[in-house]
Amino acid sequence: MVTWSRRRWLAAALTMGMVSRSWGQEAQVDAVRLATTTSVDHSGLLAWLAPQLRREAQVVLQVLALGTGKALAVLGRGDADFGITHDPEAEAAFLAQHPGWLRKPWLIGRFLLVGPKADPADVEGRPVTDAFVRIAETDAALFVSRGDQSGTHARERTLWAAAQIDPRARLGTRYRSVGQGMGPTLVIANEMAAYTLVDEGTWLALQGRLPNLEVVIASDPLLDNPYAILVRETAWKNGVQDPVGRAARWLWEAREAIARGFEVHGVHPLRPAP
Amino acid sequence: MAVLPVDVQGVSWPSEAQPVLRNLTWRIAGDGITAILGENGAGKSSLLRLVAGLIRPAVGTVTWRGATTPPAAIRWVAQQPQFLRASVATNLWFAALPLPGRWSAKRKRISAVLERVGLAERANEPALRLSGGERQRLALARAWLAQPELLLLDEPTANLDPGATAAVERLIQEMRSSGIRIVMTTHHLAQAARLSDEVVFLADGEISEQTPTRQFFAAPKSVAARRFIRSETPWWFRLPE
Amino acid sequence: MNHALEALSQALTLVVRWDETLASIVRLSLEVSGSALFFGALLGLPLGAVLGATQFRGRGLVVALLQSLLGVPSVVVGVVVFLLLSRAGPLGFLGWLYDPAGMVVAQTLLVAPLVAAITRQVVEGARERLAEELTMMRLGFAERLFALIYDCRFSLLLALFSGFARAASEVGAVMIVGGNIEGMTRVMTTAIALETAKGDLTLALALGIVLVGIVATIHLVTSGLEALARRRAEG
Repeated sequence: MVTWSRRRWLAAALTMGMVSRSWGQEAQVDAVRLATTTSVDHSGLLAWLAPQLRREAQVVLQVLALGTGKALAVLGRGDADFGITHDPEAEAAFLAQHPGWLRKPWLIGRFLLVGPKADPADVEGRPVTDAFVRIAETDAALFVSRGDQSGTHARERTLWAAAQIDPRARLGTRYRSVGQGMGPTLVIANEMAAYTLVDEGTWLALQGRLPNLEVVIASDPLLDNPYAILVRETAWKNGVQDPVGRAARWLWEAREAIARGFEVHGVHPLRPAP
Repeated sequence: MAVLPVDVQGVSWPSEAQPVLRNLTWRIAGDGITAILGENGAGKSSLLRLVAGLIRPAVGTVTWRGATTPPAAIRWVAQQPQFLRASVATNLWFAALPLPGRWSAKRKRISAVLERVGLAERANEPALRLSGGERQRLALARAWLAQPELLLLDEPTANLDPGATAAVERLIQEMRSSGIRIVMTTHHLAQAARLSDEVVFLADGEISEQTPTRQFFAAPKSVAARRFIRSETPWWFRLPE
Repeated sequence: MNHALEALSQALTLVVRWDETLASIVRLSLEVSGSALFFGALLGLPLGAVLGATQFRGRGLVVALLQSLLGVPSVVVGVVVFLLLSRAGPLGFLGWLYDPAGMVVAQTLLVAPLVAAITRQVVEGARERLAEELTMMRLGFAERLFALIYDCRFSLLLALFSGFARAASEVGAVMIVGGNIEGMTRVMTTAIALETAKGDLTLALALGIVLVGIVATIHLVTSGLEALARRRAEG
């Protein structure tokens, strides 16, 4: 008969203890890499969703916040697992170039045109293309543009095109392209008392820090900001085993609840995509 | 502003506890050249600096015609004179800055002084490129420019070859002839014998003799002086006539 | 590797063609940093010279303070200037924020301590060598200062170059105070940061090549001149 030494008993006991501990632990949490825009990141939506996503989908998001263009490039290269963007044209181009990817319309936010309290171009409450024309024609009006490859900038370009104005040509030095994210752009616009386009989420998040600016146009169909989830079809179909699919599905299916629950400074800036 | 007489009264330096110069009293007056002789480390250079006003005594006073701050009409030449990183002429130009008079006159004096010291051809050359003897001559020129009442020279020919030494000694004699009172330190006995009218012998931190040159070499009063002369001169040494 | 080589060759093409966007950014950089050098030297040279030439009670403290100013990061200077020049700040009425004028202010604050510190060191060295002579030449304070500065003139040229290099290479202060606004406050360093972040390496590389080229050229010219002139003055 083999007599076990005291040391061996101790080792065996420890091993048993460790094994039983892991049985009692919560189920495995997976990390998934998300490529998204700085606006989404700054709005606080992802931070707000994180605990629920972890609890209910066992997924933790590693967020890469970039401009829309760069986010799509990163997705295409495979450096991220799925994406959330808000530039339908760019998204369509992406789908054309990358078959096997799906676009799931998720939430709709909106852009706001904000400007100086004095409103020198008198654009308050008007249709947004009208407003752009007025800004171009008013000498005292300044406009700050993001000037990067962001969804916000893309929308701004669309609006100028709709108003049939080349902002650099018409406004000259009154058009200031800063090449930075939404937060810094707003700070600059506030400092210069200029008009600028901003997504509602970031605007609400920065309330109180921009004393010289106020919302001049809030409701205009051209200002709708549709967010979409971009995910590989294979991941989407495998929504139980594949953590990427799990994350994407959970987010998409919970969109109504998210729209109802997510509020910033008392406002619900998002509505679910139909 | 007058300089002479310079009165050194009861001066100790650098400190009372460890003095190199000890309760030293000395008066500089009259004309001509005074040579300060002494062993190395006796404090000759420091004594000169005290008279120049560059250092202050720990105990005692130095006054210049009664004044407690050194007057403008003193010039001092270091053993290794320093110059600005500039040409010979530019260095003299800087020396002429504080002098009274119009610049046209000053410029003429600069040329004249360069001629007298034999550096006129080197006027536009960098001062730092001059040889040892030429540097001494430039330093003398710099001092001469100011037409000082009292000129203090610290071992002016210490590191020079005989040719350069002779040239510098000639200049010193010329400056004496133009009326400048000169006090120079030297450890070269023959030079003191050649140039000076009066010898001041520094030993044990004080002036043990202050006598006219001929008398000093003929009959030195103190034992230290006698020992010094004997140690520094060959047996055949005789005072020049 | 191919991608990098391609970007490099495209960048070189931009430089050789002297693309207009590139040119306007370079011009603004030179104006801003050049002005900062001018004002920084105007402040720093006299301060450094006086510190190097004089003795006074508390001098050691002032010198130590000056040395510590050298260590202030450019972003900190940027934040301080931002607070001063913003609308909410005491100098907001000047309207210099997000304007080249503010950038010049910020960079001047970076250049001046550097020029002052180098000048002090150089002049102090000269003073140690020349103190007794200058005293016995009976020069007044201003004349003495002039003589010391004249003696060190070559080393001071290098001080000026160092000041320019610091201004031209920094990105923190000009980004915060200038805002990197296209056509208005976008300089080489901030443009490089932006273009790289956008993924457009061509312009970023081209600007980098020009920036390094400018700094290197000025350094070569300055030290060459200094060596030449020094040889003439010292032999």
